Amino acid sequence: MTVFVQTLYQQLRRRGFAIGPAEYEAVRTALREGFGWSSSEDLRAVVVALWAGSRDEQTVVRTLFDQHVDVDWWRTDEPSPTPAATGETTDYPSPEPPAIPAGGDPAPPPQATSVGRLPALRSDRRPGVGRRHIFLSHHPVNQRAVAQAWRRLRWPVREGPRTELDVDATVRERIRSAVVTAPVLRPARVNRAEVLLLIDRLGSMAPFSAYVSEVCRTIGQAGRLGRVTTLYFHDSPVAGTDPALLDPLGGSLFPALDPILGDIPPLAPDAVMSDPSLTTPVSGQRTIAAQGARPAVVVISDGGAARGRYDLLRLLDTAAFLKGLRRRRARVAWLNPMPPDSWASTTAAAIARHVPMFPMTERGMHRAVDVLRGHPATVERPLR
Amino acid sequence: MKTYAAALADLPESREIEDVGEDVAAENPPPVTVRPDPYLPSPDLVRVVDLAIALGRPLLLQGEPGCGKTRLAHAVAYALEMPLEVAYVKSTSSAQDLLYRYDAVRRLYDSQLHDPKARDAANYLTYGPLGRAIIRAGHGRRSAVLIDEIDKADLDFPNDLLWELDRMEFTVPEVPGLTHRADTPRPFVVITHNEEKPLPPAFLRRCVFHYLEFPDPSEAEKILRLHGIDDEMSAAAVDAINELRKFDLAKRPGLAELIDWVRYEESRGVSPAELAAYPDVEALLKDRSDQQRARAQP
Repeated sequence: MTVFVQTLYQQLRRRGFAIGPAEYEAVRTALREGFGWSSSEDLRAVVVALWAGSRDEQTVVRTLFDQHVDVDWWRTDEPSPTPAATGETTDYPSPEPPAIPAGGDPAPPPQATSVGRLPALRSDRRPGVGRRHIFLSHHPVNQRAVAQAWRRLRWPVREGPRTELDVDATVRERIRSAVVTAPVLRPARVNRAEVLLLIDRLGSMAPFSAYVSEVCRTIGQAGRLGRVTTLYFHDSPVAGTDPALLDPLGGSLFPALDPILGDIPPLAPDAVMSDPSLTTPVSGQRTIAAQGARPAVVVISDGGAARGRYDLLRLLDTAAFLKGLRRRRARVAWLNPMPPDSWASTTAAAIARHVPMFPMTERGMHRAVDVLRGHPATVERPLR
Repeated sequence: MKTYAAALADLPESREIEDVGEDVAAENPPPVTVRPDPYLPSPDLVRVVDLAIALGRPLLLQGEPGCGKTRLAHAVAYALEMPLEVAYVKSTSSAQDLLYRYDAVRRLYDSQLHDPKARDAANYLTYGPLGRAIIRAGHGRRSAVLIDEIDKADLDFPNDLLWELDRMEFTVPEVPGLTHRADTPRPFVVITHNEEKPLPPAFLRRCVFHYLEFPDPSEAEKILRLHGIDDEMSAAAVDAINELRKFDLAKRPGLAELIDWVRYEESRGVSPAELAAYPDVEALLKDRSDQQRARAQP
């Protein structure tokens, strides 16, 4: 029994469950108290109640439990305080073909009539799928880590109804007036930090869509920010920067934008949509203007690293967009779901010369939040 | 200590339970007569309640609104003869409110008026629901605590309660040396959670977790009958609601809504067959498009 619980515990730990020795001990205590002995469902309920903390986790624990419970484990159990149920049967079909029933009239032996095509597989010969699968997302960075990173983005402001007693002010007021006055109340502190998420969708970002939307959902839900606005784009939030600007670069294969950086106009994002399926255009300019004085902007895009291409027009559009943000004195961080070693000699590497770009890992997110908090980030060629 | 499963076997019509409005520190607090609400817990729920009691951990209940999360605390408190301390969490609630409140301003004013009461800070303490439960446990009496809709409060709220829920003790820094501690009869804590905000993992791992599902038809029928609805009407109502819950609704009707709706229809004299047409669907569905969809059903 202990071995089984331990295996399950280790499996869950590997999946990033926030369970420790105390939780392990809790299950053992529950077993000592007599819980979970009557059937495997009973034991499963105990483990779920103690180790799962949400509906999704409940599914994971249940499925892993079912993967590890088989008939051998249940029968070769150590003596238990109450007799264990014996009705537990295995789900796996037996490996041998079913025995031919004795007696009766035996069926005539099968005759091979034609060899024209392959015989159909008999269903009882098909190998059983013994393991159930867990169809739940398992992302590189779990919800908890995302929430922890983004919670560091804070701008505490006292606002709203006056609900908190200000003891200092009350004492001061009492001393000043020398008569009994009403207590002084002040508004509670709330986080006013706002962030604008610009998310690249479809195309090369399609494989990351589940992960990116999970991260964005967590930022919105658990990051406890004042306001999170999400806009979507494809490839670049700005489209249609004048390609004639590229003429001075000549015909080199991977030209850097440096010689023409000064000529690129700052543009507001005009190719952004309010929905992930990219059907409802919105005014990016107005959205950014609504973000306040120094908007915090996070771009989530592979920047061309997924396909490994160097796209000069995309780079030009992106530079125009970044300059537009720069004009608004925005704090910008770029999160790239591709690992950094795949950025080399793609548009992503060129973009990373102008804007702080981080991989979409736990560390990367912490560093992106640092940039949004105002820490200086060194880039090779900052845009002006 | 009886288990909840054993206590359910013979529930009396009414019980004398300690009055939560009285002073917790009193030796023999006067009881008050409590009558039970009809409540039918599923076997799974009974098991997790007993598990939580045995391990001395808070029970965290999640589930659709109106499926009986809050009622459970009342039912367990009644079944196990415990006074129930209730904390309805609000967006401005702080963890300390659950333990005690200290009225610094009143003390300041009293001291200005040379009131001798102001010499002792303990005169300005008001204990909150969890604080009272811990003090009561210190006097050897057990209580149930309901912390309702914990996700409504700030994120710090559950984090600030970690120590108190784990150790069942708290210190009042305003009164030096004042610590309340609950040892053997640990209060039974039920926490309900509506999934508005995720709870911190450190908090979750200290709880026993249970997700309350909408009851299956036979169980739902039993629940309706327990609320005094006749058999035929219950069966028809459960069929109707299960049909309704099959649609992709913005907000699916819960048990509480179902009970209200059937009671009203029964008092109006509506026949069971008529329930399939969803009369007064406004009591069940709270979204305009959901209502339109239900009305469009043949």
